[in-house]
Amino acid sequence: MMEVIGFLLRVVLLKGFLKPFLWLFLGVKFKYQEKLDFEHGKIIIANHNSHVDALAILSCVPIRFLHKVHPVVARDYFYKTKLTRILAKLILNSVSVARNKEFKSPLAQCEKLLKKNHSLIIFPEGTRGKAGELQEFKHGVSILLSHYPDISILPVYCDGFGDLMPKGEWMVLPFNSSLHFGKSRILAENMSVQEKTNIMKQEILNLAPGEKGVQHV
Amino acid sequence: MVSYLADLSSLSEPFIEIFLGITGLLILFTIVFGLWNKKSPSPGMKEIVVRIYSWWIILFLIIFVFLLPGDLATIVTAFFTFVALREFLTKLEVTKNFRKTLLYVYLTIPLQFYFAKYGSQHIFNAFIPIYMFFLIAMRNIVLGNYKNYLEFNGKVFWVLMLVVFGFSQVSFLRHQTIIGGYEGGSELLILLILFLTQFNDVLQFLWGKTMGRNKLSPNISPNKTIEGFLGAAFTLAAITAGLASYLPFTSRWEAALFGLLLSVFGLFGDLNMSAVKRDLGVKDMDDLIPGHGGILDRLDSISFTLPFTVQYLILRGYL
Repeated sequence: MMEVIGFLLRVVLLKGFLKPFLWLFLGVKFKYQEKLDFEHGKIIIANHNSHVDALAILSCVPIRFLHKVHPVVARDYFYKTKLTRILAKLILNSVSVARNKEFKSPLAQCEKLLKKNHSLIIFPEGTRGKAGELQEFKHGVSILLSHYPDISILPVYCDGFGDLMPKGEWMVLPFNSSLHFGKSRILAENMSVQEKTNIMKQEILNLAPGEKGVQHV
Repeated sequence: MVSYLADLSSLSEPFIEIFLGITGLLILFTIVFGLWNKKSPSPGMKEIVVRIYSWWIILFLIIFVFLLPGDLATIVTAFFTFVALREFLTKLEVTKNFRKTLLYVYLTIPLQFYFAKYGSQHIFNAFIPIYMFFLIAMRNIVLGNYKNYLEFNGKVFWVLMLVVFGFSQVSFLRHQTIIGGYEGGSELLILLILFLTQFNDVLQFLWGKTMGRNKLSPNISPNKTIEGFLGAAFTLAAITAGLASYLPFTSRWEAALFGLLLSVFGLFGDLNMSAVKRDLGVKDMDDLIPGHGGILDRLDSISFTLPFTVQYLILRGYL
């Protein structure tokens, strides 16, 4: 029951309101290099500048796959109170990971979903960084991939989202920004965790448009 | 046919006559310049062809907006102004210290367009130059930071004047009654200003191409020449004198003077946007339509000629 309500809510909110709002008012342009398809499980990896990121990516997922895509959120931030927990589950369809050493296997829930052929949205930076800067990537995705080598990654670059709603601000303001979806690819099984992480970082950076590019930190 | 179309659209007969004339001219231009560009392509030529395409878009948009019921037309115009303002503020990259003030800057649009339709002439003309002048400063002071204060105030206030004050003039003009038994109605005046401004750009190019020797502003826009500007200004004065019966002025001389001034403001509006883009180090303000840039790239001359026309009409007592 809860799942059906959540799904309907997401269709109305994400497709009916959020996507037109992002496009018309906030000035977000959506760019695709291939048709989005989540028939098989994928891990969407993206740079992280604001809360808009996950919502914007989710609003681009076709309705028939909407129940199969889950943003991975930080347990200590989103599941702090019961209300934010329910909202995150209902609207984002999220799964959580613990950023501290609270649990033995923090990725257990993610693995369960990947086994069910569902997809995840993961921000490998682990936290929202400054606009136009890419933080050091965590190895979580690479570790997941080493357990599930047939899962492909889909790189996404959020350009200018840090200006829509910077970290620590609650006010969303218009800013011409863009969301770039790359091509999904499967990483070779024999690569090391570090190599995979480096490739993912490069894949995201390749999508960054314009002359200015992104600075490495 | 003219009176039939006038009945059908509830626009005046002079409007339909001018509209048909412009459409005919545009078809001619599209063919002539399209062929010219194929035969001997040059950057200036390509610019003109792009401009002609944007004329078509502007012409269709303007007719579309005129046929909409009053409030909806204002909302559509306000929305385009909003997109233009967003475009400009994005490229400006002003300091984040006063980010919260930008909310009020965006909220200026609905208010200004409300005043354009329902407000008095005074509040429409004073809201941004005076009230927003105070409000931006006060809000920033309340935020309690002085770093880049002057830069933010200067840039944002200037953009508000150029974009919101400038473009809202079209809605204001639409809802004014022009004194002196002007048959065309404000719709015709708007159509003529937009057309004459765009035509002025082409005239400058044509005169510059045939007669141009001396560069007008080599740093800001190397394509513009003094001969091109003078030729266009006097040609436009001759055209407005010829079209005097379609303009609200009492004498043919005043119509000619108006054409001359319109040409000057059009030139400066064009150079103004060029200078802005060069200072910001960008080629286009946005990539809304590929190859055409953003709204501000297409409405550069108009951003000066529109406010100029309305303020001229007020000054001379026509509004």
